[in-house]
Amino acid sequence: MEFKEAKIAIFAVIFFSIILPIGLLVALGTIVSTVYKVYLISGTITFYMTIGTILSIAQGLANERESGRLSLLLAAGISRELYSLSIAISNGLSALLVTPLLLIFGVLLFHLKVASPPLLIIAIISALFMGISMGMLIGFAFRTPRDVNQYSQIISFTLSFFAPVYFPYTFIPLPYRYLTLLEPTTYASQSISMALIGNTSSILWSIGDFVYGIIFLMASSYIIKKR
Amino acid sequence: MDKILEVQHVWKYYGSLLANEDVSLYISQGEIVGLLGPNGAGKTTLVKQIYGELTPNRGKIVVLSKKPTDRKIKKLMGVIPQEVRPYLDLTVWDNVYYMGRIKGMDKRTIVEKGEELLRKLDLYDKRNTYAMDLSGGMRRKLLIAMALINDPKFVILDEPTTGLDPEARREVWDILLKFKKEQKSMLLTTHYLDEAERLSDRIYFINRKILMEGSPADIKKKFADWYEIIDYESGKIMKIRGEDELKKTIATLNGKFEVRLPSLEEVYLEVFKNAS
Repeated sequence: MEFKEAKIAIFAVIFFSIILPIGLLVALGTIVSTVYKVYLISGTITFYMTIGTILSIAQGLANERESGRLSLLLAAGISRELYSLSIAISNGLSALLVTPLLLIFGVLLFHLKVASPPLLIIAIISALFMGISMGMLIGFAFRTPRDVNQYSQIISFTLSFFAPVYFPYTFIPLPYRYLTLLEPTTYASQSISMALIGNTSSILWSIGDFVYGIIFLMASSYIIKKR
Repeated sequence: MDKILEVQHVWKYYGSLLANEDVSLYISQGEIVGLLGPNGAGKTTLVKQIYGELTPNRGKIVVLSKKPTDRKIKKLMGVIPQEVRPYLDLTVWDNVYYMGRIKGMDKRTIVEKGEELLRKLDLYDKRNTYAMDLSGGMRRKLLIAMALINDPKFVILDEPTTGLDPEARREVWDILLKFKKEQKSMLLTTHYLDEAERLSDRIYFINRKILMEGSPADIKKKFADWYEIIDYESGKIMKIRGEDELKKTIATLNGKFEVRLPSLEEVYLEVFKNAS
């Protein structure tokens, strides 16, 4: 049902999947030096994979709860996790579509080379998992769709622009650098950028994403049980 | 008679707020049971525990001899949660079809059962209409079709007619009575007294805990220690206690008059007044 409904948003998907990322890359590409252009790609992928997923899942779940359809499907035997995943995939189609497109734009515009595709796939899956779990947590933690909308936007944009997403983690001076380890998007962005340059430390950052994802899932499960 | 549902001493808290206090009830095969109570009485909380969305803090719920969280049981149930909307961007048929698929039905059975249901519910001509273009009554009928597509043994309807106009409410009642004839067991929550009286074989009055249980007639009888006499000649309305007093009063009347027992609504108000 979620997939079937997703086709209604096709124009939004085209805009957010193609036009907006081209605009972002072209605009930011003019002010970023060549050596750091890889972070422009990894940052924008992180922005789409985590922020897009967090927002779409949190708000999608809140709307489904409000409309009673979450209850309808739970009563039909669908688990919350599976339903969240279907919302994630249907609402986050643009996020899924945009990753290969961003890589293609990176190759065409900035002559980017993907040094380690396997590490990149692991990094993207772990970032997606973390985004889904966090979206679920926000979607279940707040009572009304209005609360969920406000908090999911504040949280996701804070995690995009107050974390080392568009620049290397090492740019942050010590001891503040340690604070960025509390932000889950740091792990997503660093794992993707390290994978793009072929640095095996990408796998460690991906593990960080998985750990955060599991913590968020456990917190969601706790909130659901408390209700 | 086989028990379809057994709720045994269920307690449910939301933090420090007690929503259900030692609630016990049962539903037998083919029965429609009404759960009546004011807003905030814990009806929806109880219903959510029965279909497995929430779990009780204490007590036990058995649905069709299994736990409510058992996925197999959910395939034998049909549920219309409170204030639910169908998928508005899908057609009537898609809503019914995908609900059938979710409940594990094969395509051919869905087509057979779905078409039969849509015809019964007068929705067949609207099968290609988007749910967003349906009236409130039609949407409710669509939800009934979605709940019944798997030919459930047990149907839960949480305030199925709230917000409908009187005509649409009566249409929904007629549909439910039709399905009652097919021996479907139903749990119906409502705060409409006439609805409970018209549809239910038995009623539970609930306000956090069960206050009273019985058939509408039994409940009325239990509280029928007074009669209301309307004397059409004088226009007086009298409340009389006891049959002897009633007979004496009637003997003094000339012309047309009406004697009636308290309505379920009056009983309801008295029960809840005493409880509070």
